[in-house]
Order: sequence, then structure tokens, then C-alpha cells
Amino acid sequence: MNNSRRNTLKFLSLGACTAAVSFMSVASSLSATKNGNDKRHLAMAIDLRKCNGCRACVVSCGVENGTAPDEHRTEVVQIVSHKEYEEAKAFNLPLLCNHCEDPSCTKVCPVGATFKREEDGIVVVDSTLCVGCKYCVVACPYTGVRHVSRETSTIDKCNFCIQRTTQKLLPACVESCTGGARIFGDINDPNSALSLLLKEEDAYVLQNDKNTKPNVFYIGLTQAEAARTYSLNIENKWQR
Amino acid sequence: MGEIHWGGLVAAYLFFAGAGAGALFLAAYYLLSGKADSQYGKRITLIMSAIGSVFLIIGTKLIVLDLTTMQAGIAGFNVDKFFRFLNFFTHFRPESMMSIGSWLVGLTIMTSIAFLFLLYRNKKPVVLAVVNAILSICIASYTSLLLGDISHNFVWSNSIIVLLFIISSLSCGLAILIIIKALINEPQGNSPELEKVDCGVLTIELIIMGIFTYSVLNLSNFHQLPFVLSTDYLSGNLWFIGALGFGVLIPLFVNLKTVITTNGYAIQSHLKHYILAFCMLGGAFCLRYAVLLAGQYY
Repeated sequence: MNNSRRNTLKFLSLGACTAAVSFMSVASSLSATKNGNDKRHLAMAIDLRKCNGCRACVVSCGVENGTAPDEHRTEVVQIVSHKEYEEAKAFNLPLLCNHCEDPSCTKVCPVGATFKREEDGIVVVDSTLCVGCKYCVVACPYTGVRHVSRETSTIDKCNFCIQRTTQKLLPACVESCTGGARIFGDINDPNSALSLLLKEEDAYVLQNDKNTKPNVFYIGLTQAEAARTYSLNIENKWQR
Repeated sequence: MGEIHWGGLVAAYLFFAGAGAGALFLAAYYLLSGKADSQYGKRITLIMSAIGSVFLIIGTKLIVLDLTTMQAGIAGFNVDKFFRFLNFFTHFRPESMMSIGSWLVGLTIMTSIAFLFLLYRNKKPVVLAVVNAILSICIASYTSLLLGDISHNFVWSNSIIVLLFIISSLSCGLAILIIIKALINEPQGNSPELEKVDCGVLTIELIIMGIFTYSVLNLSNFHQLPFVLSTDYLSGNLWFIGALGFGVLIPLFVNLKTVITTNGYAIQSHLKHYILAFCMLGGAFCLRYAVLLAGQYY
């Protein structure tokens, strides 16, 4: 009798444990799904047809982020694209950090100062950790999107105005764009202006062959033009 | 044309780390092969391991000096920025080759100093010699993997660079050995053994350099990009004149001449030894500088 009671108790306790574990796993997966839905995937599209090269984005970025006048997290470069037997095509090309899905800068950082935020996908540099080895600079295929900040002596770059975007505000460059060329939003939200625009238009990322999956999309650029290497620090080819 | 962010200081770091690794490897070889048992052999092992350790320390100093925080710390007397480099040792990130490298170099400096200390105390640190030999191969490889980790850069991610840097480290070690032998005035033997070994190493280096040049040329053509190892660029001049000419061809020619013409006992002048060794060391520096620049030009 005692044995059977013990066995029954064992059976019941085992059952209770199994139920508890099952409930926990269901609860945790539910929470994971919820978190997954809550995660934002912030990105930017730049419609080159609307960019007039006014550089309001450059100025507002500097004002918002307090960078020195000659240190830019974003810049508008003027490109002359020569096509064989055709007239030259000139366009303004705003450049900034691409906040790649598979960034080469985060992997190489020896101290973990450069990392990709899980909650919104923004690639940031922690200036209190960064040692300034410039490994991220040489590892990034997009030359010129970083600079050494004179104030912190560490690597500085665009962070999609994290102080604004975490409060659901737009980055300064998007807010100030006079032509409305910069469109910012959450790709995970199918109804966001950015998602809808990217569905409608042919958008290219720069240097797609580098396989870093950038989150800055360009509209009005041909595939060949997008494959070229551009730098934030090139000399402008023509005057406005 | 890409921008240059890693310049002379990083190239010097790669050189000193590579040459130090080569010297430590040969010191370990001398001890493990029994060559260190003789009076001259012991002195050579001792000096070689001392030079290896000092080179690693110099290399580490140089890479730390290249840090923007260190430069700002020195210029502005800022203690926080000056000691920021310690973050290398308070964080370990196995996915970052530079993080692995900082710990690897730090560990090797410690083991090499321990090896030197025991040698000085007339001990025979066999275990440390094995550890040093393994660590020195790791360091010689690491200096190339630091660049090779950047997979989208077709100059740096070329696998042949690992072999090139390892063999170049070994030739640096041999150059240091030549200098030490001349310095301590070791009696020269009946057959030019060192010259023969040197010829072999330099020939392998020449072949690997040829393969690397060819692959960069091919990839440049494929990607429709300029060939950055051509003499139109500083990287090309360093590659062909410094690394190939001074670093490989001249020493190879001198060594081959010695091996072929001195069929037996022949005293070599120390001046020739010094020139030969400095050519090899200078060439090794140019080789690393050329590769470093070439990768950044794209």
C-alpha cells in the first residue's frame, strides 16, 4: 500500500514537473515571439531623384549630434557617371553608415565597442569602450562613413540619431531634408512609409557584392552605379 | 582609390611581431635540436630569444601608439585615453582576430621572457621551447589573419598571405641569426649550411610572392580594378623594389653565389653578412607595408 502511494506521488510529482516545464517553454516561446514582433528593423531609403544637394542633412546632423564643423556622419557627394557613347550623368549621392544586417565592423571590433542593437538594428559605437584601433574603419567596405572624433578621440559614425529614434522621432537628416529625399522607418512594419515605398520602387543598396546586407536603400541609382565604390571624402566633381 | 587608415606604425607592428616570432622559433629550434649545447649555440639561443622578446615588445608598443586614444592621451595628457588600450585585456572577443592577437602576443611575451630567464640561469627549458615554437607560428600566422579576416578585401583575404607571412617570419629569423653569428664571431664551418637553408627559404618565399602577385593581378582584372601592386603605386614600389628586390632577390643571389662558388671552406666577410641580413629584414618590412597599403587602395 505504501509502495503504491509512493509510486502515485512520484507519478503525480513527475506529471506536475512536466506540466510546469511545458508551460514554461510555451510561455517563453510566446514571449520570444512577442519580442520578435516588437523588434524594429530601422532602415532608410534615399530617393536620389528628389535630392537637390542642399546639404541641409549634413548641417542638421552636425547640429543634432554636436560634431565638429569638419567632421561629418553623413555627406552629400556629387557624382559624375560616364556612360560610354552617352552624355555624362551627374547626381547627388548622400552617404552615411549603412547599418548593415551582417556588418563587418562589429565582428572585428576587439573590445566590443561597435555593436548592432538587437531592438532596432542600429549599429552603434560605444565611445567609452572604443580604443581607436581603426579595425572597423578598414573592415567596412563603405569607405569614409567613419571618422575619428576630436572630442572623444574614438571612432564616430551615424547612429540614425539614436537619441531621437528611440523616442520614435525621425533622424535629424530626414527631418531636415528639403526635397523629402530621405525616408526613414521600420521595415518590419508593412504599413510604414518606408516599407510601402520599397515595395513600389526599384531600390538598390551600395556594393551588394560585399554581402553585408545594408539597410540604406537608394532609389534612382542603376545597378551598375550602386556597385561602384563611393567615399564620403571624395572631391565633388561639379558645382551646384 | 581607398583611404589609408593603417600606415607605417601598423606595418612596423606586423614586421616586428613577425620577425620576433621568427627569432623565437629559431631559438626554440636551437634548444630542441641540441645546437644550444655548444658554447656558441647557447649564446646564439640566448641572444636570439632576447631579440625575439624585445621585437614582440616593440611591436606591441607600436600598435598601441597607433591607437587614436593613445595619441590623444599623449597629446592632451589625458590619463583615461592613455590607458584605454587596457580594454584589449579586459575584454576577450573570440570572433575578433585583433582580440585573439592581443592576448596571443601578450602570452608569448610572457613565455619568451620566462624562456630567456631560464636559459640565463643555465636551465634547459624544453617545455617552454615547445610552447614558444607553437606560439611563434601562431603569431606569424596571426599577423596575416588580422588582415585576412576582412573577407571582402580580395588582397588581404588571399589565403596565400598566411604562407607568405610565415615564410617571411622565418627568413627574418634567419637574418637575425646571421647578424648574431657575425656579432659573436662564431667560427665559420666547412660548408655554408646557413646559406643553403637561407637559399631554400628565400626560394620558397619567391615562389609564394609570385603566386600572390599573379592572383592579385587576376582578381584586379576580374573586378576591373587597377593593379595596385604595379609600380604606379607606393605599394607596388615597396613590393617589387623593397620586398622582392632587396628582400629576396639580392640575398638569394648572394647566398647562391656563396653556395656555388665556395665549394668547401671559405671565410665570408661580416660586412657581407650584415648587408645580407639587413636586406632581408628591410625586405620583410616592405613586404608587409606593401600588402597593408595594397589592401586599403581598393
